[in-house]
Amino acid sequence: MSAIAETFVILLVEDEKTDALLVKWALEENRVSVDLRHVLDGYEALAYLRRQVPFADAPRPDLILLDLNMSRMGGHECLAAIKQESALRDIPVVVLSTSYSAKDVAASLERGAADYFTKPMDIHQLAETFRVLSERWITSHMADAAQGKGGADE
Amino acid sequence: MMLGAWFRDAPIKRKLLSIGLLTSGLALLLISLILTVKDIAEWRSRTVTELTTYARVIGSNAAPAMLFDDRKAAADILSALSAKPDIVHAIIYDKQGGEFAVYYVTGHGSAALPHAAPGTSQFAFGNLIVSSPFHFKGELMGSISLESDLSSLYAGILRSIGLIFLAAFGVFMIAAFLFAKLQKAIVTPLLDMAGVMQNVITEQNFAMRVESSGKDETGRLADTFNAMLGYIQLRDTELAQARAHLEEEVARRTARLTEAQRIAHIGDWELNIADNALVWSDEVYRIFGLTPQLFDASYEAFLQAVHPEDRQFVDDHVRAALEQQPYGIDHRIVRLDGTVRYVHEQGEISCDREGRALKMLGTVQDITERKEYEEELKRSNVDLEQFSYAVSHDMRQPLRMISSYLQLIERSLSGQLDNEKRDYFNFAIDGAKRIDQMLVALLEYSRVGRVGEPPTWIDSRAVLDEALQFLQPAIAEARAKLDISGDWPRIMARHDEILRLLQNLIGNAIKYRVAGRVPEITVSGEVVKNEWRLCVADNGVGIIPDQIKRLFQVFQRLQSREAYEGTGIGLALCRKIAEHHKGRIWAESAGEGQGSRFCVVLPVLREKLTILGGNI
Repeated sequence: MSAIAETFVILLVEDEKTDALLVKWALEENRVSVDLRHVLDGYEALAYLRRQVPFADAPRPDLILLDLNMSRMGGHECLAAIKQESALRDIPVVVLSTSYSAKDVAASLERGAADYFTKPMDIHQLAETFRVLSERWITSHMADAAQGKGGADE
Repeated sequence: MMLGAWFRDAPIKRKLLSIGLLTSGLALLLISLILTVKDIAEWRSRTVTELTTYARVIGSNAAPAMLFDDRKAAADILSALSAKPDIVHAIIYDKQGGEFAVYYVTGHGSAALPHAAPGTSQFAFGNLIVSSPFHFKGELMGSISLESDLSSLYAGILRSIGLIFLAAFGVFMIAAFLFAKLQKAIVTPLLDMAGVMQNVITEQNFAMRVESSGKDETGRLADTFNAMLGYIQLRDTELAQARAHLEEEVARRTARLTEAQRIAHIGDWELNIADNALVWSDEVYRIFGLTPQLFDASYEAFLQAVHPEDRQFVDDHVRAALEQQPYGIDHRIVRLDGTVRYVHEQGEISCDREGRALKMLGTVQDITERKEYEEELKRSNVDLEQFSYAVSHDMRQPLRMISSYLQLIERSLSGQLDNEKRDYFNFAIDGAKRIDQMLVALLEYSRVGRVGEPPTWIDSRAVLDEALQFLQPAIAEARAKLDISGDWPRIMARHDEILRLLQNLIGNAIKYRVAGRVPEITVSGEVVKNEWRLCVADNGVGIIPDQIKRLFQVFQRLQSREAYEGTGIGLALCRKIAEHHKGRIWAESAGEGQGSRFCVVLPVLREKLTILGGNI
């Protein structure tokens, strides 16, 4: 069970370490056990996805959680780059942002984001947000992910 | 005919003279002729009478000689005729008609004296022959014939006629002389008048006057003419004064207009369609940085001064104006020194009665400064937008850290905290959350009218339903009764802002309810003329009337946060939305606990007009 769960890889693109910590907490709070990888901006994310140094051996993520406002390459730009690469296009990208602006939501969905969640102020709401997020994008896809990877191993 | 024409064109002087001479000449001629005829007749009858008398006298003397057949005596009697040299031939005939005695003047002797019937006379060949019978004691004895030579008679007649005609001619000459003199009295004033008129015309001098010549028709004509000249002179003076005044006025107004154009930076122009001549006011030249010497005053020359990127745009609008569509456009121009200026150009066509385009009239305003302000405003709006975004993200992120991690600490310490310390944690967490709510509200407030959607035609009732859907949980919780009525027209507005407005007003009506009282909320719309009035009335806590004006200001709260949650920005946002739609908002309340009514009035555009306008 645990072995299968940990084969689900999430790439978190987030420049604030404290925010990354809250994401980790929220996943744990919902008892969702995943392999959470964290990079600090869009450049690192693309390097990771393209398995460039130092990410040569990094596992391909089953889901990308993307912040929008980051130093260096921002979320929108990163999202557009991911969706332009055929090898990466299939990985669902869920945007996690402080911004509730309709403009940001629309821009994200236009560029191919699978979903959009606003980061709440309250940890109970954060936990609730991640309950919904994992239901939609993690737990329901774990089996597929495990099967896919299992099949490849065999 | 030719005579008639000559007479018509002849000067009056000659006409008068002709008329005078012709009539007097004819009269004299007629009189002379009558006199002549009468003269001749008189002469003739006198001659006949005289000759007859001679014949009778000679007859009575010759009767005894005839009785005694004394031819000698008869011849002697006849010879007495030599005293009358006119009688050139005389014969005494006897009873039988034979010649008894003969007398004749040498050169006239001829036996062939016509034997006129006794008692008759006859004129022939310049002669008069008279025959007369004579008696003795009642018995016819014979007859006598006398022949008189009339040449001396005729000479007398001719002399007489000559005298008559001479006299007539003399009279005629006197008449002609008098006519010539008299006609001047009539003609001279007329000629004078004509001369003055001629001068008035050539010199335009209405001060001249004709010399009055008396009280006859000519004099009256002169007086009338003078009066007329006086009147014209008066009018002329008045006209000159009026023109001078008008010119002064025009000059003054032109100066004022020029000054006004200079101050407003608005020039006017006129384009003549037929010959393409373009007239600019001084200010247009100033705006374009040109002088009349540097500009050849045609439409093409104007287009050359327009910024190359705007040329097509300007040309299109001007051509559309020819099809009766007035235009008002902003475009750039390039001055000779390369400076770019912004102008607002307006133009429309002016037609003649048949609808043919005659000329185009328009104004041009230098709006460079305004454009620069607009650009600055745009830049500052972009700055503000970035600033707002920074606030919304960069400031809220640390706040989220504060609240989230305080919550996490509180949770992890949960067993060790007493109630007091737990409260302290919550105060800190609430504070952070409230700052965040205020930031979000401020951000939203700053967005109204600055960013976002353009207005579109929206169905107000549909937007209301949308708002009610959002508010459904609150309505259900408060068990509020809602009554919706009135007009819900299609309006030209920004959907999101109207939705927010309705949400805030109805949300407030639910929120500020009196505990224990079922909220009754009336939402009504009414179209009056060109306005739509939307009112939300409730039976809630109401407002202290003198506090009403504070309601619509940012962060002003009339109720404590303990009693009613909120950031204090909702109604300020409503006011901003109403004003952004060129409308207004106000609140009414009888006082605390007596409910309140919020009304918004928005202008309603005529949808048809806007559709004709095209681009919405």
